[in-house]
Amino acid sequence: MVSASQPAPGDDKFGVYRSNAADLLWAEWEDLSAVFHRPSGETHILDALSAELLSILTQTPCDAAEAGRRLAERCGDGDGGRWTERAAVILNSLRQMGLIREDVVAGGRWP
Amino acid sequence: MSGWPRQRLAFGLGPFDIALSTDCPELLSQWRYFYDGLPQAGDGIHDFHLSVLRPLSHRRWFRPQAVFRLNRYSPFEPFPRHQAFPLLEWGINWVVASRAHDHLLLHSAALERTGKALILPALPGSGKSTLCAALALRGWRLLSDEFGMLHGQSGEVRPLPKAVVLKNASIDIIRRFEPGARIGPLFPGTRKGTVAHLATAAGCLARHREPAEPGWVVFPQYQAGVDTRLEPLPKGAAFVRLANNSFNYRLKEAEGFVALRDLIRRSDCYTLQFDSLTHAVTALDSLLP
Repeated sequence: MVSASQPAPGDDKFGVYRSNAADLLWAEWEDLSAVFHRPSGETHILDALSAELLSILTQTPCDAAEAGRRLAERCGDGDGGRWTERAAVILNSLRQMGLIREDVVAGGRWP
Repeated sequence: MSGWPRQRLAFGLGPFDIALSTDCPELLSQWRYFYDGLPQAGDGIHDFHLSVLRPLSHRRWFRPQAVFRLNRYSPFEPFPRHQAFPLLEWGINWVVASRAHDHLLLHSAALERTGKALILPALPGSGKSTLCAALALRGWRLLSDEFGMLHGQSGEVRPLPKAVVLKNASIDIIRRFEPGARIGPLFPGTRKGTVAHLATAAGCLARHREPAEPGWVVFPQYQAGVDTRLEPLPKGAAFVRLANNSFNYRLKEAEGFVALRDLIRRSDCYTLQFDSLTHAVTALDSLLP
């Protein structure tokens, strides 16, 4: 189930997701990535897409649509639009793990 | 008065200096059988002050018991006095697992050859100790039967070369594997059944402070009737399994994560299923350059 905030028609509020690179320690291997989250002391195991998206968010905050576009770009897929929903699922999962923060802002689409 | 004066030993064991006092004479003689090769520690500061003493009650004489203590704290119920040596061995394990947090502690055997450490993490029943004993009898240097001790800053695997604890059927398996093996007395009726201890080779005791570089992480699993198979294990999977196998990974927080990550980066990782000790040793020898 997707619960990450996305702008609905007529709704000018949307979620901006961010992560603090200094909070994270990374271990990356071919089969999976592990991330240690300093504030919680938890280690999280991530698949390749989740790790990629988390890495994106440590560099620049963005909304779900932009996250989808960047994910598509990194995966070499020109059609970023169809990645939005997939990105939203991953964002929700990362948010539940406490690895990213969602700020709901008003005023149209990011940026 | 007990009739047996309290004796005091001070010895180095791996990275630790330990002071031990006991009034159980059989414990002293067994200690000397297994650990005479360990260097004496000085009278200075000791990391742990241990004792194995007879209780101050009627159980001093009637069904006599022995009590293990770290300083004045006793983590276990008293053992029958004739089990004083296994009590001390388990007591030292408890002390290391609960206090030695300068290290990331993996529940694993560890051995060394060509300067590189072979770490054998495993759950009880996997055949870890039996395999460890077999390797130690075939030219691998015993680092530890119970702990993979990773020093956080250097990433080295440090020794704690206590005698290998053999349980139940493993005792005869090792006797058959190496008839000349120095195995101490049988201790029947312990909480883990009958146990006996394989003495650590004098050369390993002499090198008890000498660490090894990470080399291999192998998850062994004994299973009757299977062919011996040593297969590569993806490093991410090895990381997850080792994190779950550690005594103090969560306690070590970021330092534990980094130590484990570096261990995996520097090691080749495998699973090993085996039925025959001889074949398992051959498979692990094949890792050597």
